[in-house]
Amino acid sequence: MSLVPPKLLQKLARLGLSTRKRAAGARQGERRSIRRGQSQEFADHRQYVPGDDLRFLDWHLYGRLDTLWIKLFEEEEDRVVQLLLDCSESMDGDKLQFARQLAGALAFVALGRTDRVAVAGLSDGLSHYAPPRRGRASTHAIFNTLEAVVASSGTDLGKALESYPRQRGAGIALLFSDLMYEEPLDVVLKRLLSRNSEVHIFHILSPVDLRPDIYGDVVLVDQESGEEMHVSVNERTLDRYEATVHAWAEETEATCRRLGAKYVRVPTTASLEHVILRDLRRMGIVS
Amino acid sequence: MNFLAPLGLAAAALTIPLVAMYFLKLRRKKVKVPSLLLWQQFHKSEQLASPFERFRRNLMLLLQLLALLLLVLALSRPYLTSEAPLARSLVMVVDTSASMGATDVSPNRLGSAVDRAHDLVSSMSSSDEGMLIVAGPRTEVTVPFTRDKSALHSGLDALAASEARGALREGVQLAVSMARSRPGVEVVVLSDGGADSLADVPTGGAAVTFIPVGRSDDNAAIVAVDLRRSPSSELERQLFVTTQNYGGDDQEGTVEVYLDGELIGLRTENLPPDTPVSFVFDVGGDKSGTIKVTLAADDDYLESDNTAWLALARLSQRRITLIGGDSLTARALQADPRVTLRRFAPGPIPAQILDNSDAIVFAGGNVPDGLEGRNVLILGPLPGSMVELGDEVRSPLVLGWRRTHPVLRFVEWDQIIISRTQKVTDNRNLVAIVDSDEGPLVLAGEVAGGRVVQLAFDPLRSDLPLRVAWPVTLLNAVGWLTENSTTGEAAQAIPTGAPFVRRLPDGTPQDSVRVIGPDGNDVDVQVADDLLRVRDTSQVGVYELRIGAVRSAFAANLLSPDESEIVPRPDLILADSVVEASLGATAGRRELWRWLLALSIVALFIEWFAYNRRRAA
Repeated sequence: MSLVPPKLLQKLARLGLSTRKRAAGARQGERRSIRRGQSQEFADHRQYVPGDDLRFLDWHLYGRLDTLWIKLFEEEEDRVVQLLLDCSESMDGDKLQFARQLAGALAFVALGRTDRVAVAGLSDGLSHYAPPRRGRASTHAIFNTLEAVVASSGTDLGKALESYPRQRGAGIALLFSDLMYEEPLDVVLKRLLSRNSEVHIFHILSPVDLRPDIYGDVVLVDQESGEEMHVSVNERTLDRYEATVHAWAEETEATCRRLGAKYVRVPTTASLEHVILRDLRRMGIVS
Repeated sequence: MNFLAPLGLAAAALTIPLVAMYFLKLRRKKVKVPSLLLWQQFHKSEQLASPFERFRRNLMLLLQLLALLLLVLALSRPYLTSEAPLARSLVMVVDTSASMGATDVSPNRLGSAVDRAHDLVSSMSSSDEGMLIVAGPRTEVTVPFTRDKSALHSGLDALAASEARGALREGVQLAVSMARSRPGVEVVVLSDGGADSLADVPTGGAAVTFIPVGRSDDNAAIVAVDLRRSPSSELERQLFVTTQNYGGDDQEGTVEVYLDGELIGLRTENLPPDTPVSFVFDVGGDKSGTIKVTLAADDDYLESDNTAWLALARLSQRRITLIGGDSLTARALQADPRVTLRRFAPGPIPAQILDNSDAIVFAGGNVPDGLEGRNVLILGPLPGSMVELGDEVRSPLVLGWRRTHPVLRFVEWDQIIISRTQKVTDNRNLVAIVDSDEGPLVLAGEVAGGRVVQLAFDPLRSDLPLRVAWPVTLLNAVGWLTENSTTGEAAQAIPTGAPFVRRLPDGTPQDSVRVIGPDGNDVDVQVADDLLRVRDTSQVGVYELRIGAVRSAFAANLLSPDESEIVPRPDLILADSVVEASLGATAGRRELWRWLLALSIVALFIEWFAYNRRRAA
């Protein structure tokens, strides 16, 4: 339980992941499904056809109209919440740690509503995977899985997602990444959206990404590829670099919005509690 | 520009590692970043947005290179040749002798020398000190050692060329002694070489620089002026003018003589180079006033030697008292129109008469006592004569006479027949000027301030009165006797710059003496021990002397061949070294390393500033 502070978990216990769409799940859960099911909430009537479960015949209507009608109910289904952690080298350090914590906290929220939670570490392939689990009891296992995710090698989200097992039923994909890879974001997003009803992008950026503490003539070394680049940096350069990063982030957000994914920019310097209880609630991701 | 340490330029090789380091970026440290993706994006946009960034970085390199190159240049100690010596203490000796008034350079040599001296002063640093010695007729330290440049500038501005012979020797001596007495002194002599020989002035190791002025030797000058009695007539005077052409080519010279502004003589002659040419002009004996002699020639750069002055006094009257004697003697004396003759029979003569006589001629009777200090001519062995007389001797044979003595001029004594004379047993301070085998025949000399001519024979016992020699001898004698009591043929003329001294009547107070210079201004005078001294006679012209109500004059003329020979000297020959003329090449080296170092520091400062500005931006 050390991944997320217990005090925060107490605050999160009353929350659940919100959803915009009705999705068909594999098992019954607390989410309303687009399938008419066996929940207590009445949805509609339709005429009886042979083979229908006689338990759902509306006998009151039969007595009044002398025709057989079947009651249809909103079926409440569980959902698979997929925690996809970018664990490429570029995420190494505070970004990956923050991603683990945020993912852990959201997993705790999801498990509290009987959603199933799957965890995957994505680098240039599927480096970690934990199949969906249900119930609060699985929290510990999920946390362990999250903690086991370590940064390694480069980034190839396309390849990693291809290796990711297709989940039954609708799900919510939560991608925790710094989005620093060459593959276009819209390709990745479309791939995720084709499998899930909702996709939330948690764009995790460290201070080194936003405004690195470097000055003068330096050689920048790419953590992932080892590639080098000679730059001369001064405050003005840094200002312009920062502006470039912000422009890139805004462009990324616009792409997400265009494709129907939610985008959350999360600096690693932010407070986890603040991010979940304020930012994500405001965005309607948790409720 | 030359270099004192040209090997220092080898340090320029340091630019190679500097450039290499810059381009190889040896000092770049590696910084790990999560991804270069953003940096690559940024770099692309930067190159588009700021194409001058590379240049800006190169600007830093250029500034570093500039600083390094300036430093290398400073190491090689470059210098510019200038007239400003590298001295901590500068002693400037400026020649203000007459020749410095030559106008072969503009405005004249002194002006040119002063300009150069101004440059020297201006080039002095604030820690340098300077001294100004003026070597004119007198040597003066007009500005003692000072760091105040304005004092030196104003001291230089106050300089004016004199019309007198200079004293460069004393000036250089003073400066050299100054240089020996304190360290770091550089003596700079600004002169045309001057008239003085410096061959006996040792430098004693002092640094001496000679900055010459002047470029031409074209000059014609009056080198001598003299007024003499005419050899043909006692009453006539002749003006002798000697000129010389110091240039290299023949030229015509016109000498004009003015008496009180009126032209009394004019002559034009060819003046060959380096040969004196004399002119003689007759001046009447009864003339008085100011004589001005001018020389006009075409190629003549020096003005002050083209004019000479003489204060001409009228030949004064001579009051002669004749005691005894015949009419022949009286008429002979009266042949001189200046002579006022009074005749008295032998016997006692009133003292007043004697006091008012310039000379007393005894031709008979007794010679009274108490004639000391008076001018006396005793024609014969009269009782009371000025010599001791012995026995009478016959037919003395003239053995010789002093031809140069003024009393004996134009007279041949060997043909004069003397029948009897008296032997002179004691000359009594007189000198025999005509000697015979029997002893002196004529004696002359000064007794107690008066002049005496004594004949040992009676003229009437010789054939002298029958000869032309008689009146000539009488006039010669009277002329010589009265020479002191008159103002002579011409007033004194002195060289410019030389002090004028005259004995004053006893007890003359200083405030009754005034001397007015040629420019009309009063000249400082000193009166001490009844002597009048006029020190400042540096102007050519006539000085008017006013002693009480009595007015007289004296003239001062340059008349210095040394000054008139204005050929610029190529070097100064001192006792232990020859100082070559410095036309700027050796006189001073102004080293530039300080400036280069300062510029290098400025370049580094700008680089540092740019670096910080870049950092702050």
